[in-house]
Order: sequence, then structure tokens, then C-alpha cells
Amino acid sequence: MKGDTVISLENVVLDFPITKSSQTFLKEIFTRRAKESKIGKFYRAVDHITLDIKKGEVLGLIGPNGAGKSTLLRIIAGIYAPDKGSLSVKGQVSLLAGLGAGFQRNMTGQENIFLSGSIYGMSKLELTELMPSIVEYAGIGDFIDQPLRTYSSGMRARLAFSLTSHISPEILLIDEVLSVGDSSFKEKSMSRIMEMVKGDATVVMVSHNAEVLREICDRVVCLNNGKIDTISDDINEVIMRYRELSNLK
Amino acid sequence: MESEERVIEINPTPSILASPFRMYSNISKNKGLLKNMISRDFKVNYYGHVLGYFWSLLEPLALTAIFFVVFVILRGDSDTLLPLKIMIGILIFSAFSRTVSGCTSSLVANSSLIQQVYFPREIFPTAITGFRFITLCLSILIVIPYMIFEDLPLTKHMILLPISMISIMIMGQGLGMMFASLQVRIRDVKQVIDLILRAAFFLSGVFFGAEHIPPEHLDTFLLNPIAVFLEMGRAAVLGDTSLITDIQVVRSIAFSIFCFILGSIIFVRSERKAVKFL
Repeated sequence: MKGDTVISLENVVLDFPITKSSQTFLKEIFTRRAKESKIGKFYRAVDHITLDIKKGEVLGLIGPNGAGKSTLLRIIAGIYAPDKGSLSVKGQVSLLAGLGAGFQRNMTGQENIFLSGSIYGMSKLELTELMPSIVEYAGIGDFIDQPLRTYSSGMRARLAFSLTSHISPEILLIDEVLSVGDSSFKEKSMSRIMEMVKGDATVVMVSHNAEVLREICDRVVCLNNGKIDTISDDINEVIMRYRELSNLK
Repeated sequence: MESEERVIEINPTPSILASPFRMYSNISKNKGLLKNMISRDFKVNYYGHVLGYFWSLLEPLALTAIFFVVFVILRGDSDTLLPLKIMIGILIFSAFSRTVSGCTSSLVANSSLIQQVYFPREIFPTAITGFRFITLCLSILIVIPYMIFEDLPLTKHMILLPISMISIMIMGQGLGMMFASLQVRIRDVKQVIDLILRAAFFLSGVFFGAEHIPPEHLDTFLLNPIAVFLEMGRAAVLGDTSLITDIQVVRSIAFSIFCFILGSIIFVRSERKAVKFL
């Protein structure tokens, strides 16, 4: 059923509160100067975004820092609920942002895989089946039965990446390209991401790597100040626009 | 294939009536995750301990011994069951108070996880309550050797013990869920809660039973559901329910269910907004 819309955003708005330090807060209460200060002021991270993403599509997100790329991914993943507008997502979503969600340093590698895997929505049965493959891909051998605190940071990252790369959701959201470990593992992980992206999953990925975007994306969106600046399947055009925007800043 | 399609309509605020059902369905859909979160708490809490989970049994055992020395031997209290009564009070109350304060800070404590992955946030307070409840079940086993030692018969009133334990934990989770979102915005909330819990410790008769309350004040004392639950636990083990009435028991259980439902409504309706402050 390629071509069906699986992610649909309509006029999505998300405001972040501007949090004040508690001291300012107290001062305002006592001096009654709250009115003139910034009470109730919000920072608009995502501003009226309307976007349809079709099944199997690979969509790239690009934009200057603070443009709202990560926030947009988090909205699609369900972490933040939009303040206005509507959003519908059909299918199981996984957000890869930062590695090893829920890892505990005093638990063994295997225990961590079960914990973190279930946080990513995998069942115990799936994880048991995938375990040998996860361990092998991470290349940490017997360390899998050791507590995580004995791992080097590279081993830890490899285990985390190996786990996340075994997740096969219908919709995959990738925040920045995950590059971890030594150079050979970096290559390996990049090709694994490509594999995941080229499968039948719908992918939304944030990347600043023009080559990666050109190679794998069907469409690229350039965000600026929470709004869609450019959207096109002519990827070079979007990248040009992005470079223009970053030079302006 | 197509019939299996799941549509996730992200609806930030379910209606008031639907909220407890939303929570129930979210929890039951994520049972495996809940189990893993509870076992994480066990592993993290008892990591590196040679005796592991036995500590939840050893600690109350040692405490009872201390109370025995202090109250029965040193102070010459004639009531040799006093250490047992205090022990039951402490075990149930501390499970309750840890649940309340744990649930209150559950969103703050898991902030990095919340920003990384989405899963129903009701899991956090529920996992804390589950962990505390299992620990309570393990440590309450301490009454068995004591009952054998003191020759206390097992009566039908024993059923009150699990009822009181479950009720007080439900109440604890409910209260904690009421404040979890507020704690995200104003971190002073937990300090206030901890102070109130400390006051509740002394006002609920943890260190004395209802028999030490003057009869004319007993009804007022037992308006406090925590005190009723502690008395229920003691009555169950001692096989003597003369201090509490059925009405007090029913009233307290109803109150704890009310707390839980109210807490789940507040939590489910507010967490989506609250996580933006993390």
C-alpha cells in the first residue's frame, strides 16, 4: 500500500514555556511586578506546520540550530503533545535520539538489553530471539554478562547502537546520524542505518550531511524558526536554501 | 494486514471520566515494560548486596529486636506484643510514604527517559508502587516467626492484612500521582510532601496503637485512613478487631479508591503539559 499517508500534521503548534529561575519567581510575587515581566510568555518551537508523509517515504529534515527539527520529531513520536493543530500517526513509531534509553550502569549488558528493548516497545520474546544477533553485532563478547559500568564508552555505545538497530518499527525517526565507536564501527553503523532506511519503513531523519540526504531522501524539508521554509524533492535546492539560511545567521 | 493497522490519534487530554480507563488500558498494554521497570528497581536497589532481597526481611527483624530490647527489657513494658505492633506500623507506613514521595518525583526522576522515548508515563508511578508493594509483602513475612514465637493463632481476621496493605498502597499511588506534574513545575512540592508525611508518621499511630488513644478521641483519630489501615494490619495479626468498626474500614477503603481515581485523572490530564517543563 505504498502511497498512503501515515504521518499527517495539520497546523501543528508547540510552545515551550520560558522557565524563570525560582528566585525571579519569588521576587515577582513579593514585588508584584509580575504583570510587566514575562509571565505567560512562551517560546514557539514549532509554528503551524502542515505536513503529510507517505508510507515508505524517506523524509530529511534540515535547518539551522534551534529551527525545531528535534522538537518536530518528538511531536511525531508522541513525546510532546501539540498545543494546537492535529496530528495522526499510523503505525508503530521509534525515535532514535541518543542511545541506550534507560541503561543502568549496575545491570549486566543482557539485563540492559531487556530493559531498554522493552522501553523501545519490543517484547521479551522478540528480544530473546534477537539477543545473539545483538550481542554479535555489538562485538562485545563475554562482556554481555558483566555490569555496564565495566564497559568502555565505545563498548557501551556499540551495545546501545546494536540494540537500536535491531528495532524494526513501521515508522523510524532518526535524530542526527548516530556515529559511535571506532572508525570501523562507524562505517558499519552508517551502513546499518542505510539498510534500515532503505527497508520499507517510513523514515524521518534529521541530518546535516548533504551526501546522506542526497543519497537516501525522497524529499527534504528545511525548517527555520519553527516554520517550514522550503520543502522539495529537489534535494539540492533545499540544501542550497539551508546554506543560505545558516550564512545569514 | 490492513486490518491490523493501528492509528495513534494523539489526544493530549482525555475526558475526566475516560482518564482512569485510559490509565488502565495503557498499563495493561505495557505489562512487560512494567515488569522490567519493577525488576530494574530491585536490581538497582540491591546491587552488590551479598544477601540481596533478604535485607527486606532482615532489616525489620533487626528493628523488632531493637524495639524488644528498648521497650520490653529496658522500659519494662508489660505488653510484649508492642514491638510487633510498632513493626507492623513502620513497615506499612514506610511503604506508603515511600510510594507517595516516589510517585511525586516520578516524572522528574525519569526526565531523560521521558525526553528520549515515548511510552505511557503512568508506568513510572505504577512501577514505583509495584516495587514498594512487593518489598512490603516480603518484609511483612516477619510476622510469621513472631506469631509462632508469641503463640498467636491464625484467625479469619488475617484477611484484613492484605486488604490494608493494598488499600494504603493504592492511596499512596493516588496521592503521589496528584502531585507528580506539579512537582515538575515547582520542585518545592516534594519538600512539602515529605514534611506532611513526617507529620502523618506521628499522627497515624505508627509508634503507638489505637489502644493508647483516649476513648473519647478514638473516633477522631480513626478519621485518618492511614491510622485505620495500620490498625487493620495489627488487628489481622493479633486476631482482635475490637478497636475498629466496619464503617471505619469501609470508609477508609472508599477514600483510598477515591484518591487513586482522582490521582489518575489529574496525572493523565496533566502530564502532557508538564513534560514540557522538564
